[in-house]
Amino acid sequence: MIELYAITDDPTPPQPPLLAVRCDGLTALCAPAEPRQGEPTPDALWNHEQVVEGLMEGRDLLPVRFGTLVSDEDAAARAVMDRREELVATLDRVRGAVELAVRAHPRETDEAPVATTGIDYMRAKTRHMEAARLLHEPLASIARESRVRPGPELLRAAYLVDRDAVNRFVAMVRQLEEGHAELDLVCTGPWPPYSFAEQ
Amino acid sequence: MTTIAERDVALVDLVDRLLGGGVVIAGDITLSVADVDLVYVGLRALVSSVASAEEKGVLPRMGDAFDKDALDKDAL
Repeated sequence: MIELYAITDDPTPPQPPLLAVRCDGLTALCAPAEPRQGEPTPDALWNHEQVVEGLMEGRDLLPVRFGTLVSDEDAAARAVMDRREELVATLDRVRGAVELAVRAHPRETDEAPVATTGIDYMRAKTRHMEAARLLHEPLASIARESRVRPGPELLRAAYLVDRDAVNRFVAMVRQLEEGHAELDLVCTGPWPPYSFAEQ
Repeated sequence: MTTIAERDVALVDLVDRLLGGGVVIAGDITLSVADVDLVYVGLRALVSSVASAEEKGVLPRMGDAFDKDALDKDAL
């Protein structure tokens, strides 16, 4: 079996044991793999991520969903050909950009009263939603695209950011953190554009 | 993503992306989006210092059944 890591239109060959499967202007970056059983370990996920990040350093790419295995190189080429036009268009959308993740939680303090009534709860919820909007809008204005993901936080979002705007984005995260002492912000990345790899 | 602590903080984002994002193409995908929650719980049990990150409020609390006291709180 071979595992797919990323799709690119950059012809630069990857370092072995990675291999390039060419298909009409696109390349599937793959590696020989054994089928896995059960849940992946964090190490397995990080190892995969490390490979994709290494590939991302020198080229624009679309990361492939973790655990995508096909029987051989022909099957990899067919899988890419089946969606060729869509993949070409999506590659153009992410070209020159990386993904940054932002999560926001209310900072738990002793002063914050625990909501005991329905009205208190709704007030707190409204306040939190307002805070999430105040965080999201300035970040989205720096990003090329954004996606808000479901999650237990006030905000769990992904931003597609031009490579040369990453510093500006991080500075905005810091500024928002300073302006909202009641919130904890976690920003991670740069990630390959996982959240922007599908239409 | 260079230190262990950074990796633990970023684990939620990693799982979101690798298992819930990326190009979905024909093939033998071993995990689906529907499994993400399950995997997430599994990963929490595997990485002890995630609990420490939760104590610091940098990770979401996904459930109370997890025994944080049994874990090494000095890991971060």
